[in-house]
Amino acid sequence: MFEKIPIKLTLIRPGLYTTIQDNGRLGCQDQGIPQGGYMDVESANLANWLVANPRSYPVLELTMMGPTIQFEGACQIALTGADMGATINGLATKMNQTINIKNQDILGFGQLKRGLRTYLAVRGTWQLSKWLNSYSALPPQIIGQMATGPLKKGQVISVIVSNSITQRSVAIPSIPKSTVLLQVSRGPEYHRFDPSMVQRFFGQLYTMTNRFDRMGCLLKGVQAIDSVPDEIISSGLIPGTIQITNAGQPIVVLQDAPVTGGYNRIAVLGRKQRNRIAQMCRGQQLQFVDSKN
Amino acid sequence: MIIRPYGTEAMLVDFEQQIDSVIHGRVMEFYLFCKKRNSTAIRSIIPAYCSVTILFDPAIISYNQLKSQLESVAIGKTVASQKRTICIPVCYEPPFALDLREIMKQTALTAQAIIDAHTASDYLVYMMGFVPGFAYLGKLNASLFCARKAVPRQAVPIGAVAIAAAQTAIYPFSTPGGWQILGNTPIQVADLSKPELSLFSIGDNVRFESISLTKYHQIIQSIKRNTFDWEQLYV
Repeated sequence: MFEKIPIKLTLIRPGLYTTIQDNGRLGCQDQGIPQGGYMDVESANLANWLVANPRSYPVLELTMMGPTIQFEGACQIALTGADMGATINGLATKMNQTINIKNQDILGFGQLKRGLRTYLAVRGTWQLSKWLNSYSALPPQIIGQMATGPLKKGQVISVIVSNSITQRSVAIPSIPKSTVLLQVSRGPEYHRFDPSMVQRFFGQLYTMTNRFDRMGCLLKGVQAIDSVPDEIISSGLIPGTIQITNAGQPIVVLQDAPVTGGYNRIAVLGRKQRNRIAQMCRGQQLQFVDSKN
Repeated sequence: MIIRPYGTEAMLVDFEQQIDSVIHGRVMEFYLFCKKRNSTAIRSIIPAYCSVTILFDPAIISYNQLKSQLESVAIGKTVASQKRTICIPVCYEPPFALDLREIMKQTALTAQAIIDAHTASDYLVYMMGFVPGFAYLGKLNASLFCARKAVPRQAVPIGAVAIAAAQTAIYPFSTPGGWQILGNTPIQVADLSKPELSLFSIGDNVRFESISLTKYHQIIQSIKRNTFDWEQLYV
């Protein structure tokens, strides 16, 4: 039997913040390790399905500005999530379908049109090593320790390709640019807020500020939310938690956030809602809806 | 013990809301019980000062089922103590005591009195968080209480030993941070490439020992030469 030679993806340009992600690492939060993992699970799962990879398989998560990738060897890929104007050898290519890649093809990206994060799946077995049972990149402050931070220029990913599949495609509604309504559960400190403040939280529109990354999103509402008292004794934080800062503005905690925090937790976003917020950019508006539980 | 939902896939178990070693003992008992159960329904556990957050899989167990199972846990018995005490050498001299002046000003103590107070007692690891390997140690002697820095540092030096209000800690990596820095340890407290990532676990005791600049560099050298006896840190 011949040994399979892996194909190679070389990052000619790394893009703004391109990371390898899978479902993240659960079970080690007692050691202070963030969960990590896909920011938009739905899009990542779809990308893997389009190339018939198993669920929870590693993908590339591209942020706002995509990388330029040269392929060495033929393979099948899929792109889902944000529309960054993807091209192959300079020609526009479609999202949400299996794409056949030839040897020496170059995958590029243009202007961000909708959403924030694009997922790139490549059919086959990725030649990577796991850390704490996950391939997910770590937050920037600790990448000095591990090789799995955001990808750099010239970095190479090797994939042992599996047999080609018949092309799959799916029609999904495009990511909205208008105001997004996000249903939330009540957080542990919900009842600490004055009813008038709860009403304010659900009644007003929030705008995404320029702080939106894998750790979380800082939002801005016209009227601040007062919380009494200001802080709690530091306690567990899970992705989706909405904290109210001392300045009265919400922070939505996401995948790479620290595992504990001290701000009052007014509400919690479910998984679906997290997928939505993971695709939102600076300036976009949203409103929270009380699911009453 | 109060159990409340925390979103649809987690629950929050609150103990009396105080930073206190006895209350933390209950947190530890409850945390270790959940951990030993090793149930696939429990995805992750986050123990903190006076709470435990449990992430569960709602496809395997409902909130109410898990709640009633956990409520029956007998808390309050003293568990056999497996606590380790780890002694961390710290150089409190320049160039490491970056915020000594500010700490002296805030506490109205002399430099020696600050070192004496910081090394006088054992600290409990109340919680692991902020970044991997960062142990929240408490409680600090009240004479050392300081407010955080008005403007946080962009990059705190690795190994910095710092204080903030009733807490003290060692920065395992160079990260942003707003705590007041009073020294530095030559000991690498976290190594993410090792199976045991951190020198500390929740529930451990930590003691600080004042060392000279010469000793600091000797330890750095022996760690580099691989001749450092890590076992000597455990007392």
